[in-house]
Amino acid sequence: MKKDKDNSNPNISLIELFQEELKLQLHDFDELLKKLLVTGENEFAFDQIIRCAHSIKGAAKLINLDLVVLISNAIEVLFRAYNEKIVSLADSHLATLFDCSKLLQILVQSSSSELKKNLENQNKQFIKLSSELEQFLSDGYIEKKKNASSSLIENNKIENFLSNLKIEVKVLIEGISHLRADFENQEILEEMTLVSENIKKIGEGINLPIVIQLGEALETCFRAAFNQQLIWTQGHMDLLAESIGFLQHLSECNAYGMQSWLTKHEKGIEAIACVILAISKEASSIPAKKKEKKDDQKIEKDDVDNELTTESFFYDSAMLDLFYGELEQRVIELNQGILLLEEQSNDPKVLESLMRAAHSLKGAARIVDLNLISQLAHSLEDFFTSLQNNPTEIQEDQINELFNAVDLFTRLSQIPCNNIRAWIKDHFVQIENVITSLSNMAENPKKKIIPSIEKKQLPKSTSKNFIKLQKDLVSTKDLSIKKQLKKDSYLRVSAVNLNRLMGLAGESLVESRWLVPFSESLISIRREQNTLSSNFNALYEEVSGEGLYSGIKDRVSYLKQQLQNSQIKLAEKLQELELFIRRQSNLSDRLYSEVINSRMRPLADGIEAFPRLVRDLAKQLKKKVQLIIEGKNTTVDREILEKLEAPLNHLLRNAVDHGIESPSERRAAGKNEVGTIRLTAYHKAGTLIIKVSDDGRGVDLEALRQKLIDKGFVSSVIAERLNESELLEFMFLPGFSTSKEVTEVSGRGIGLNVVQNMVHEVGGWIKTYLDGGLVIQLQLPLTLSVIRALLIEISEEIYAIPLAKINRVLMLSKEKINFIENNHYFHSEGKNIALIYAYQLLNLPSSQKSPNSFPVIVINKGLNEYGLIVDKFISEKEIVIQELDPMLGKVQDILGGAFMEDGSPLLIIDVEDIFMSIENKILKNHKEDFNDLLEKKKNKKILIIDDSSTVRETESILLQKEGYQVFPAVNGLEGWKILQLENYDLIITDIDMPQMNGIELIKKIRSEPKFEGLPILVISYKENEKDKIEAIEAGANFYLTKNSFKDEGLIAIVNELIEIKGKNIK
Amino acid sequence: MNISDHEKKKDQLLDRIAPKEYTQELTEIYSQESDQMIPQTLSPYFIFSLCNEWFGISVKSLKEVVNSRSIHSIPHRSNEILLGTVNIEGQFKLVVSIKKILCKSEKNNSRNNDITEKRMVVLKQEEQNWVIIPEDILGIRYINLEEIQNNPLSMSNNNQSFLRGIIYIENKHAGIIDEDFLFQSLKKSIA
Repeated sequence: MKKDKDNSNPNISLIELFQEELKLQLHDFDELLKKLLVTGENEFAFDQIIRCAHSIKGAAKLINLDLVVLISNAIEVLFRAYNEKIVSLADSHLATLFDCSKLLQILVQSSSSELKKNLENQNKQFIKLSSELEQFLSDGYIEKKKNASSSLIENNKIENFLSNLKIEVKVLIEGISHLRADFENQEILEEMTLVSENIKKIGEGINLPIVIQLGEALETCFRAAFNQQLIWTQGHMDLLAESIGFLQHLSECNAYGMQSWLTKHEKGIEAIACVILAISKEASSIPAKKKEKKDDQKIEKDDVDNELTTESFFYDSAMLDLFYGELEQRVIELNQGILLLEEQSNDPKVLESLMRAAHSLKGAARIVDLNLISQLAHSLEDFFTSLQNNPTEIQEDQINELFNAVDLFTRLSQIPCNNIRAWIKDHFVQIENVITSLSNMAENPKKKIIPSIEKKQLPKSTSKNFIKLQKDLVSTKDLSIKKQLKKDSYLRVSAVNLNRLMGLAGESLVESRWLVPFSESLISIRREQNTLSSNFNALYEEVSGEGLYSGIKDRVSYLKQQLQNSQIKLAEKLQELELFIRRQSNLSDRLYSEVINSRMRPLADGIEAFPRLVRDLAKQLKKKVQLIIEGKNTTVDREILEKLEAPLNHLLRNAVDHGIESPSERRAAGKNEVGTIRLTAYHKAGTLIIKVSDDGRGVDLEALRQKLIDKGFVSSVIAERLNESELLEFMFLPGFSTSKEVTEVSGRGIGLNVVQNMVHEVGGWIKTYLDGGLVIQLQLPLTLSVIRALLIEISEEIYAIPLAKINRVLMLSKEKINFIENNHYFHSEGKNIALIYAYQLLNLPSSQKSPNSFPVIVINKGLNEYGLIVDKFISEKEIVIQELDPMLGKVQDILGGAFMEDGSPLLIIDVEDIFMSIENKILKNHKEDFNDLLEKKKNKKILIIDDSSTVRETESILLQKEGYQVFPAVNGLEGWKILQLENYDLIITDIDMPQMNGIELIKKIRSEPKFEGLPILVISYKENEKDKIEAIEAGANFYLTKNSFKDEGLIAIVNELIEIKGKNIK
Repeated sequence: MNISDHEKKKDQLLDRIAPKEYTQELTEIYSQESDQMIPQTLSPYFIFSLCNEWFGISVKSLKEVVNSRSIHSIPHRSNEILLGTVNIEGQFKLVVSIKKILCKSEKNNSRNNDITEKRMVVLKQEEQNWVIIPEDILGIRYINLEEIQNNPLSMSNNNQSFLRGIIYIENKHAGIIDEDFLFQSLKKSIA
């Protein structure tokens, strides 16, 4: 566990504190035990001891003394049981308890540095004592039962029986009246089942067959109803009421009269019991609605039920909560331990911790009466013990079996606590199977597992179950991760709280900044005071020469003195203020960065599930794989961490499935049989790097190239020219998979696309290369909440644009701005860049200034560059993104807000949105003289060349709506032919087409003088920069991707191209 | 007696459960006193003015009164009701002008006038906050709900539905705002 590692050397003072506490508590504990020795059971003493043990447990937990926790927990639980009168105190118990006290005393006496060592030495003793304590607990139950029935004389026994019966009958009567109103109340039905079972049992206690029979009949009936096999009718109710009536009469007899009453009514009772039993049994043979396995287990059923329900009055939800907590903790330990066991086989330390985990689970399950679960844990423990005593190489199927058991625990931990018993009943066979094979393994650790008889009966084989379990695990993955988050020493803070905290911390920072100007103003006052003082002095010098009255002289020198004093005081106070400011700003700076950092979490938190995932997958695919995780403590923004979960899952699955070869292949290639997958995380240049690499077969580039051609992603000509990294990039396209078949594991071709989407979403990028195996490197921002941005002014208010989105900024003089068709342009680096006023885009009032040069921010989306004219550049600044009021929803063009140092708000511009707004704006400008255009458009002819009919159709409809005449062609060659026949105003072409592709077509058109000035627009699937450049170089005027073209954007560009026809062609 | 005994005794003394009768008695006392102190018909209202008219809003809807601060307009969204957003305790809150909704005459409807006011009032409705800019603030006054009169017919129509009625307080007529109605229409106006 992480926590262990961190605190493996808790500082000495903590241990000393613990010893101090332990000493105090042990003193009380001893005193109380002595008291108990004299007084016997004593509730006050019990309470006190529970408190003592609890304190010790708490303290020990703090410094990770597991053994002490174990034993103090056992003591606490035992005494709770005394208190609840479930177990009665015996002298032998006290002896053991004194032993415990002595054992703990050793810890008090040992020096603090030796404590851990001493603890390890006493290891066996601790475990022995705590299991003895647990034994008392379970003995106690049995003892109690025996007491109830056998040890009393006959009459007392009957009296006892009758009074017990009375209690149960009372419950039955109450229950049945409820049931009349609410036939299917599951809770009551369950309770009734339990009660009738109890009646059966107390009948057994004094050997009254008639009561046993009736109890059983009732039990079967209620259970059938509970399982929804029995449909209630009024008749049932009457029967039940009658039989309960009998029981009530019986319970009202006295010890002497009972026998005679029984002989009188025996026949009647027997008859009614038979009827009920018959009806219920018939009902039970119908498969249950919910739980189908129910009846297969008929034979063992009585057994199970006894186990599951006898002592179940002793549990409450608080106890179950404790159990769940324990369960979650232990499951993690078991999972980690078994994985280690698999790697390092029989490391005694690992075995030790596994044994302890299983042991604790056993105890915990027993306390809440989940005996089957306790058995399961017990069989695990047995197995580990047998391994300890008899160190042998652990086998793979044994590991699988162990995981089966752990998976059962995992699933158990996800069952809501009121269903837990039902769940156990439902999975009885499954659990029993696992127990059987575990105990087989414990007996014969060397042999292969012999499938048990029950297994044969059950068609589902272990391996099938295993896969099923695994699926369940995957589907409940989110759940389990959420649960894990809770457990670490982390607190769950709601996002609202955290935001509020962040706001307040920011505010306190702002407040502290206010102090500096304030102190400066004080300094200027001091300066004035100084001037005043020197003026005064000068005056004094001047006046003192001429003989003044001595009275006035005195007063003047007194004034001088006062002035001096006040000067000194002010200087002192100023100094104090200065110091305070320094402390204050330091403090609030730290507070602020701490709050911002509270969003960061170690990577380890998000990847707990991966070792198990890789291991299970490898087993399923019969490969040998080890996962090495490097940089677990690398901190990651919690938002990014959450988002990383799915992509990493995919990458690891891919690595296991496609990357790592089978052991035989690896042997043949001269590699180690065990493949290695490395998950590495580190910070680099202000970004987070996450690398997933394997030493597998890598990617066959030639096959990939062929596949690209086959799938029609690129033409063969282009495919030949693609280099390694370009080829690998295709793997991230949706629908692309290198795998020949779709398997359960991977190969659906969505996985890598998911990775890409996530990375792009947070503004990172992916690098893929071959280094032995495949390496996929994700470069992500460290945090999503702090960004560097350029602050600008638009219509007298401050806005920020993320630096990452800015291409470049420049001051553009008035003369360089051209005006074409209602739109402003400027010429830069051989391109015309459209200029847009930011205030127009944002629907803000104009600032009414007309300067000689304009601040312009150039942003680009693919090849499209736009210049945004703002009013003023202010500065570059690191800002913390804050949400705007959620009531607003998403504000167009705005990403969020932030605060300046003085607390005044600024808004952050959403550059992605801005592109859309720009495209709309350009379109609108065009529409201003729409009528003109429409006239012109009617005569304009566009040729659309695309092999996809859908694309042709979509584009045609759009353009026809705009008034253009549209003509289709299915490939480059046909397009070329059509071009010869008629004149067109615009060509829209795809790149990848059969016969003649787009690039070839463009080159052909450009080489023909008669087509000079004909604009060509490329619309292609390919988003690659290189393709765009290739197309532009060939002579295309514009490049749009099919994925990204928005209707209005397309139209805007088409309009533009047709308008400036001929102006921009080389 | 050693220290731990003292500790124990102290714990026992301080942690002991109060007798039932004691709790009961206190409960009764408290419930009675609160009844006597504030008659149910008296409720605290926050009284402020806009365009020379006075209004009252239940203090249940009042979060705080803060000094005026700079407002940032919101592109595409700011209008005559939604003025923009301000920093309240480090979070973005919306500033609204409720003049448009509450005032019968529109003489004082220019945006600049609002900003020159000295204080801002943060109203709350559950988790949501609205910031308004009153012209003047009278303070919190207890109002007898039974004394609320119906809106006189002389008042213009446009704000009637936002007022529960009129109350006469300290020589002033104040319109009592129906906050649910107000918040609802504010929400509509920013959507």
